[in-house]
Amino acid sequence: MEYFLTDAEKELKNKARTIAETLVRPVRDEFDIKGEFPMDLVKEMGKQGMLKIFIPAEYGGTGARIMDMCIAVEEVARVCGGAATAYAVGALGSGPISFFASEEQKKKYLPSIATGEKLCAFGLTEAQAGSDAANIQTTAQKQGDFYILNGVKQFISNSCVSDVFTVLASTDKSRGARGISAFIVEKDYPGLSYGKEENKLGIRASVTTELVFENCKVPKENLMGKEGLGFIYTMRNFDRARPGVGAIALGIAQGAFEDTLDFAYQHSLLEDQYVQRIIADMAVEVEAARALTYATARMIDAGVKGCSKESSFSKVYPSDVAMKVALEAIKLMGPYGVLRENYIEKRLRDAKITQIYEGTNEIQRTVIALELTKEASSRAKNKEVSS
Amino acid sequence: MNLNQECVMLKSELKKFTQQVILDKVDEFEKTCSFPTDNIQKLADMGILGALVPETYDGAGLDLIGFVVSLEEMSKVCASTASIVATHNAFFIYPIFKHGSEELKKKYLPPAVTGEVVGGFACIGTNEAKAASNGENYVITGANPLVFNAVSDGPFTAFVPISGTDSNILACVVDGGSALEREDTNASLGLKSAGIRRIVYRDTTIGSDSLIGSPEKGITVLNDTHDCAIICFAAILVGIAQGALDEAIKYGKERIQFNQPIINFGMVREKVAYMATHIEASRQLVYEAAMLYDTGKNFHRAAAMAKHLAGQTAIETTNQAIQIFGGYGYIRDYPVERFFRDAQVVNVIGGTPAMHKEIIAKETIG
Repeated sequence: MEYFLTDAEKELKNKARTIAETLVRPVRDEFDIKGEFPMDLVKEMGKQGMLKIFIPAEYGGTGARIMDMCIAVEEVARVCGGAATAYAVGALGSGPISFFASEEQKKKYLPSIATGEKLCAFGLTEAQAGSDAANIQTTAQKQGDFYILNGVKQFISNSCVSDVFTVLASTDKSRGARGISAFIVEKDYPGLSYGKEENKLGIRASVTTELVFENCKVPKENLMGKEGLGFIYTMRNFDRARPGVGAIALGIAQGAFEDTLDFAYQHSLLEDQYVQRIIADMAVEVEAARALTYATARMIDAGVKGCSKESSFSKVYPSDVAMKVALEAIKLMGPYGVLRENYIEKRLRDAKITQIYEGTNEIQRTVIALELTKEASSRAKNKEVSS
Repeated sequence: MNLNQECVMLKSELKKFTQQVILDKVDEFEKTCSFPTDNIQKLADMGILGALVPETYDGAGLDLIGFVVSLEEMSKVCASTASIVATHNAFFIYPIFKHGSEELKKKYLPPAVTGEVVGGFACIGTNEAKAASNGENYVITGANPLVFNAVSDGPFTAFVPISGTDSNILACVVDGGSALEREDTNASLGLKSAGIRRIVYRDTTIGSDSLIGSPEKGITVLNDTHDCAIICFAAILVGIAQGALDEAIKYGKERIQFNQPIINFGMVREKVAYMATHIEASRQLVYEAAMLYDTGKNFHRAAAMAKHLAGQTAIETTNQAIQIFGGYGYIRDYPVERFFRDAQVVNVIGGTPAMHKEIIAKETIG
């Protein structure tokens, strides 16, 4: 389908495709098997300017456009969902700094994140605060020139390989979500360590560990924005980031679709109507997912206010499509599909996380329903007024 | 559907065994991809390895319904164990006792019943080997990346196309001592402890005494073997789905979010309702197919339906179980991701979903 990408977007897409094919494809199995973070790969992507796209132009980036993120991430995920996650996590971590940090903080952190010299991650989730994200127990107590952080963050992507973290902690427990503040934490701050490393079903090229704070001293100037606004920053950041998850799912779905098409062709299955139905549905749904992801990205980039609902659309649908395509692919390939060498089983393992991370699809649906409730309420009021 | 007294007793015996013996070891076997030799021997001692073998060959002579109920119980905890037992009975023993010569039966059935031999099976869908006649014997060359129960030097059954014929298939027992290599590639998504190996044939000679039926009848042996086997593997899928549902409910009751157990939430309850309904429907179809088989009636349509629905159910149920677990479902600390992976593999044993749909359509249209 023609999406009328600008010349710059086309150039980015080509560059991302080349990197994915030449740098990611040769190592994707190795990192999946070992469950290791592809540090050299991510650094090289930084050198080639692929991390700049997540950062505003004033701070060494190219504008932090969501459309650019989606284009680049999709291409990497088309080859490897794990590498795409390892790559895209930087955008989630640096997003709050780009948009809610002070001028000084931005100048201090963003340029080196843009080059890939420093990697960035994001710490919100805790053992008891998954979908219920506002229930975080990590505390930040102000003592003189420092905030003292205590608590354990869980399932933190890229944690032990990153240099800078956006971390959420409660500065006032009595205020619940409104007592949560955001901090910029550097890896060398005393009292920060890494806990258990997770052995995951998929995206094994992205390392996931606990992030442990034991009386971790964070300079008070590393508070982001204002105390108590951390949760709002987080939600706004998620609104911007979700199309990126959609793009990872989209890339996985695209890759799985291409693999299936090639398999069906090689095995002369395309004349079989059972196969035609499956492959046609795949093509339709992958394209629909792409259209939705791109449309949301354009909407956010255009500065439309209040994109929560559409942002959730762009995460739910592509991730559901990625799972559906991968499951159909594996069924179509039969016993070949469950063997590592045919790669589709990895697509399936990688696809599954896209329905879970950055807010499960269930939570996304509650977000959508909440927005729809508001719409229904205003429709009801309008009807009252007009009658 | 009411199970008879024998089935009920068998079911509770297997349940006790899986809880007391298999459960503790399952993670270790999974992690190390090791074949549960001791547990399989214990199952042999209980008669499960000779479940379908008639008493005349010292087997348990169970009805198929008794066997599928047993498989279902094992799969709730460990699909690899159930798959080993099902492969041994349905893909190894069954074609031998249904179609093999008296000599072949005498050679393989007694040790298969006692567990001295655990028989394997080379998956049809992935077969890349060919057989050629050299006048006296057949010689197999090529490979098969998906051979079940192939861990030690045991025999396995193989169905290999014969070169130079239209569609003749050599149905045979490949003896453990034959010229071949077993590669431990750990390439399968699931059933990690089911002894899956890649077999590379090295001009493997198959004597006439190792053929199951005549070469012209190979396809008949294959189809007949498949028909019975898919009921067994459908039962494993039902067990996997039930195991995943049980785990999801347990977790859903313990996991507190928004100040209450997540099992209270509508989106979780909807999944539970879906899972429970599809599991029950699949189970009834599996039992129906097994009982039709046991009473000598036409069971083909029911068997294909059972495998088709149970496969869909196991895949969707294990997928939703992971979703209920959220991030915890995605890590190896909890069993649901294993159920999910195992379901994918079992679903494609004995034919793809499209093949089963075609059987159903054919039998339904008439």
